[in-house]
Amino acid sequence: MTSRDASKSTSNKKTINRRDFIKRSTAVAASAFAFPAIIPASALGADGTIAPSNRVVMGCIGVGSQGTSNMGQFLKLPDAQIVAICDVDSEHRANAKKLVNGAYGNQDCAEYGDFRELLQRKDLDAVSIAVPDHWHSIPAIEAAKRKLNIYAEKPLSLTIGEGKAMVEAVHKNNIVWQTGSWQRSQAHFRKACEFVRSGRIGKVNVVKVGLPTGSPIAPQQEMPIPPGFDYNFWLGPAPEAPYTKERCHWNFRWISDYSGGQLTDWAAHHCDIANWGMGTEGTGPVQVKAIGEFPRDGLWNTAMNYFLECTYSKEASPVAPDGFVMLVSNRFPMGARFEGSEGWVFVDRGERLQTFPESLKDSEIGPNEIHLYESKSHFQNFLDCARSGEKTITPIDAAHRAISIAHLGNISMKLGRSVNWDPDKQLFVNDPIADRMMMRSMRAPWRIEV
Amino acid sequence: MTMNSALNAVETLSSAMGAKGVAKIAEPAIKALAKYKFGDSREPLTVVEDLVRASAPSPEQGAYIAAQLASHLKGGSTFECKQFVCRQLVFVGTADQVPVLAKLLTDDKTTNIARYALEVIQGPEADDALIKALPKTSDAAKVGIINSLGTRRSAKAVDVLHGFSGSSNEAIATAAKAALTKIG
Repeated sequence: MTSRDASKSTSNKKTINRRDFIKRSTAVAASAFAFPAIIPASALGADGTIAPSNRVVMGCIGVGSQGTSNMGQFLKLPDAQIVAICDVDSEHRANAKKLVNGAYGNQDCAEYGDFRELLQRKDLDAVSIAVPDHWHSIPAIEAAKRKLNIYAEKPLSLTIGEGKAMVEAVHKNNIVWQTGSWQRSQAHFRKACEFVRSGRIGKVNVVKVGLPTGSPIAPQQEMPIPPGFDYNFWLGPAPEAPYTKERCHWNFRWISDYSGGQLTDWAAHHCDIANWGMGTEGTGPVQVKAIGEFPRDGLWNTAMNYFLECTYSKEASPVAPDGFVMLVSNRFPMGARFEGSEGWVFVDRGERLQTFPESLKDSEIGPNEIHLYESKSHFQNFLDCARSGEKTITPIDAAHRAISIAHLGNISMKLGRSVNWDPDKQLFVNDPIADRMMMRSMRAPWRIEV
Repeated sequence: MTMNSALNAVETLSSAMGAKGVAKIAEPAIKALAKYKFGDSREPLTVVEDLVRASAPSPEQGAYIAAQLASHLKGGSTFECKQFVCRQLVFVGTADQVPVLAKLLTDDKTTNIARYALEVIQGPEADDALIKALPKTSDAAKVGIINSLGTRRSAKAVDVLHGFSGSSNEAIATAAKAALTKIG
């Protein structure tokens, strides 16, 4: 059976604006299976470069280490034009502005300390968002409301409730979303998932997802806030807390007020691949039972060691008619391992693809088997879809379902018991205490407003 | 009794001694939180987190622990202690703790941490507390309380929110309109 995994989204039918103009005037010749895009001659300027009017005009919200890395990828692409950057840290802004101006050979890059001001610009088609997890929802929802296409970092959200609101905002505003779960744009990950989806290993009964181990750190002391760093804005909706260097920028990941630790940081990658292989991107487990070991002291308080047992129903996966279990732990080798009745497939970064039988990994997917969405460049895929309105390779629904697994795991660990989940309604089953953990109260004035 | 031995004792004694036995162990652990400041060892807090988690199967134990924790919200405990208590009341807080949480709403320093628990404690008591606090709070705190009423989908708050939707303070007015949209 042949399956085309790409689907078209309906284009925005409102009064023509810059984004509509680009979509209608740029005919993307790429097929549903193969990108990079073929830019038609009509979109090229006299010197053969892409005319500015046909570039996807972007702002970058969050230009720390990951944000600058993403921005750098967009700077290399001729059909992107970065016109503005935003960060709460003036050093980050200065560095990013220098990179953008250097790339274009001008001084045109605008800088903002407040994402709301960047979003007021009328010339934007899209934004790239790379901020700490506790800040993922609000700027994304506000950008979606302004009909801006969004490339946003993983993990999608800090809580399941925020994720649901983000999904609602993206669909309501009919914008294009790409998650920074770039593994899908690597051929060997796709191949691994196609083997599984095509039934090459038979009925799958267990998927093992290996993620990294967390770390503790000693108690930290309050420090003076560095000049130029708007720390209160950095905290944003999260609870008030004294500034200390190990709280911010990279290491927010290990503090539960801002993130879910290694579990959420990496579930967005390998649980996403697990979902892709199992065909469970639109659903979730019915029960999660998790145990974890947390640091007993110090600033960092997310789980160091963890083991999640996620039970899926018989209806969840086309390759698991008896249901299956997804195990997620730092005890497994990093990557995703699918174990079936007729073999197994293991896949990880560094082009690691191992199979049993061994011959499987070198075989080709036949014309009548499952062919998954192909992207040769995660960033180019976003730009192409921003112009065409088609769904990207990592749409927001898939990102939300992948990270929901990790959020359910963290909730189970914190409660010290299993949780039952309705993956269709995306609600806990008869569990008022778990319900309290769907979302967290935000420090004023911040709120979610879809 | 050290914190670690208190934790081990909870696990051993909880099933054998029931609520009264746990209470004897939880009380000193919770009392020890009063002076916690950022930068101190977080271990006394971790012990209490474990006690809260261990109380999950027993509503009686959970209620006792919640009451003990809430005593810190009345007295001279540090801000960090109060903040920690409000976080734990997400797991074990009930309508019984609403009155003491409500008193924190009118202080700009503690209004956000009070909402951390009040926003999720189910029941009309929390809605009433949030609504009643509104006339007594600063404009900044009002925005937060209005946001919480919207998140709670508090039908009881509709009339007062309509009033605030016409406020000359733009932040309050837009918060009230957003909350009314959520409540529907």
